[in-house]
Amino acid sequence: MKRLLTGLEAIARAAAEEGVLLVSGHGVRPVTALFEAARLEGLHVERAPSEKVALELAMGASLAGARAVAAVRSLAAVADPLHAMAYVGATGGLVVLALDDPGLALGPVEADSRALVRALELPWVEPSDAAECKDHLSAALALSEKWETPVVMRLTTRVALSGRPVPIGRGMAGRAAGLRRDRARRVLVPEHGERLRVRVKEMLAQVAAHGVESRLNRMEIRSHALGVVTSGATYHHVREALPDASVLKLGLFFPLPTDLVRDFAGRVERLVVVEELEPVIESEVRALGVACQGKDLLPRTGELGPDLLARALGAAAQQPRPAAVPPRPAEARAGCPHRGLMHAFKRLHVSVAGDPGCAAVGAAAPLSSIDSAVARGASIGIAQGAQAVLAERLRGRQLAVLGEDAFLHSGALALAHAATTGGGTVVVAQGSFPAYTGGLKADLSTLVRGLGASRLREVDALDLAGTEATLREELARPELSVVIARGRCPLMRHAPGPPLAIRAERCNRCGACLRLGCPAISDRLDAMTIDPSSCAGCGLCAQVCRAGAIQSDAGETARAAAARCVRELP
Amino acid sequence: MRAGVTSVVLAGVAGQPVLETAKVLAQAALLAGLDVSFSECPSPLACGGSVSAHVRFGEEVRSPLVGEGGADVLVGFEQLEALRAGRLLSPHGVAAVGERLVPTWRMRAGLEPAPDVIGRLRAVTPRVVSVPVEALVQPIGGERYVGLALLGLLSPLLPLPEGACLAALRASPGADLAARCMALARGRELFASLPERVAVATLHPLDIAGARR
Repeated sequence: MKRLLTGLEAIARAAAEEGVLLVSGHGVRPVTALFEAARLEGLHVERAPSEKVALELAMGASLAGARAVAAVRSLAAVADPLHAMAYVGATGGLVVLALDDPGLALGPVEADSRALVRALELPWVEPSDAAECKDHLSAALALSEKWETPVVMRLTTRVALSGRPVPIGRGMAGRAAGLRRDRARRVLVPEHGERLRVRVKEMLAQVAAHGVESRLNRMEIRSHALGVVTSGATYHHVREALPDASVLKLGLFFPLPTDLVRDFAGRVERLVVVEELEPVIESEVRALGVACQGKDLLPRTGELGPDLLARALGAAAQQPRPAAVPPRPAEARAGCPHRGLMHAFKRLHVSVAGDPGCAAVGAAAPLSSIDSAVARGASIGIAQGAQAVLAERLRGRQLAVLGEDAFLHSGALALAHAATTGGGTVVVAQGSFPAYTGGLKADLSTLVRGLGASRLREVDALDLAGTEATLREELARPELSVVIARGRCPLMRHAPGPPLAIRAERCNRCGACLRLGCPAISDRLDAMTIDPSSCAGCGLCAQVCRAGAIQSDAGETARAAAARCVRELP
Repeated sequence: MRAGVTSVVLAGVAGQPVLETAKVLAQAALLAGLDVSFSECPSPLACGGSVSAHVRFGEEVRSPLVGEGGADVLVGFEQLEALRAGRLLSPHGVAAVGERLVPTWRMRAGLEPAPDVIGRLRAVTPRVVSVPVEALVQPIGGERYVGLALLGLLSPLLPLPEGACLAALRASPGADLAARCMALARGRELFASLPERVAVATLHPLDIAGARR
């Protein structure tokens, strides 16, 4: 039987059929989609606060003799413990999914985790579609157990989110063999490390030899004029754009199956390596002394779709650029508490170190209140660093903001450090979308106090005046202070409040409500209007309207509506 | 594009069930015994932004992506996003677009006019229809059924057996199965009763097949 599954759904299905006992990951997209699929398959899912914890959970399961899968967006974030695990070695099959994002479909950073192949000393597999996701996960688990090593399975967003008919087999109950005492292997002290690193090198040589006859690698000889070495989603794009080319498809691409590559190179006149982002396979091929083309023809950024391949390697002509379409940047939904927070920041005229998560909605016009958003949980450290070099010039003029999930991911450590060095004002937004926080149970106030923050305040993010006043007070103080901004993500809000409306006779069209950037409010030619079907009734616009023109349909006054919205928060 | 492969692009804004509708179509193709490949192009953030999905089906499908000018059918959940996907539309393709335009902030603030979506799409292919589909699905349950109604409207044009989409819906039962089937059926009815317009007069299964040859 075949079922239509996406790459991540196919991985969850394979995990169920292969008796995987633990699926862990850090809750960012597309990992959240894996969680959903894994739960539907009845698998045990661990949503970890960070990539590192996710990986450690899976390592623990593997050392206890069970099969485990860990999923991370950034393999670089876990490079250190993962490399150590190469020495210790897996017991139960351990597969680490590295979810790269060429073309920036899901995030702001176009990292190629494959750039770490040499540093990590692990075997790497890469499937081309959902059917292969299932097949390659089974193969990777077997590989991991046979050579007692973690295996990295690299997926691009395209493969993770694309679907195909996938053959479905029978589920299998997994089991954990139990903990084994093997200190010479599992305790990484220098005298053990020296011996273990020789073992890792031997393992890699054996996997390279295995790669030559592995079913994951396959040679398809068609025309001899052009031979393409490729892996992942680009395999299908190559077959689409260059149907006559011979193809060496590498499903197990590192360590490179050298004999297979040499054999293939000998059969074609022109050899081109087609891979997205960095020339990783190309470098490995060149290191063999095999002449090839690759990044001299193809870009090092973005996704390599069939159009681009047909132009770069085939006969297709450049298409004229289509006329521009107005861009649609991400924006906070109606009712989003971040809108209140960002509006308050704007009124304070301070520099705001933010976070690439939800707070990033404050970067775009008209909220325009976030000045930097670098990495998850990084805002506190970045604000502290600026404070360290600018000292008095920044005192009371800078804020750090991040969501509770980012705070638990790594911001908390920066806060503990900030407590040792002195002041600063940190805003932690609570009540984010639960898919991202993973339903973490940490008690933020206790944690913040325990880490050494001298002051702790709480505000309702939708209460503009209260938030602004509290922040003003805290910015004026020299001590380290944390403000917890409570709110509730509109994505989880089932019944929105009654919609508000603008009374045209009172409206002076000053545009204050418009500058909240709420998707429900627009300036029609004749009047400012609130679209009742998209209004969440959060009351922010009523709070900024000085003319008192905004009230709910029920005839409530603006202030009463706003107050009720704030009261109803969790 | 490959011979014998039908390429469909669905486009909308974040929050609209673009992927869910694409999966219904993909399932319909699978039930018809065809090879199928679909791909989601999500919005980088959970809030706002564009979402699209590509569905390709036929005897043998390779890339899950529809290339520029390669879409036989465009299902526009929203006007601006339909226009954005217009670069994928084939000169022989058909587009059905809902009437709603979700304005960007610049449009809401009057800083930028809304583009002439239907006019610009008609420059690609004459076979573009703007459909009052929002009003159609209002009694069924509102906006989340827009995609299914459009799919129903276009279903007679797809090289799939009559009723394939309905069968696909039934294969994935949920709480609102009846409403979803209703949306599909209402869209299908609209195909027969569309006003007499040039674009519609040429909407015929043979035209798609002819264009592909």
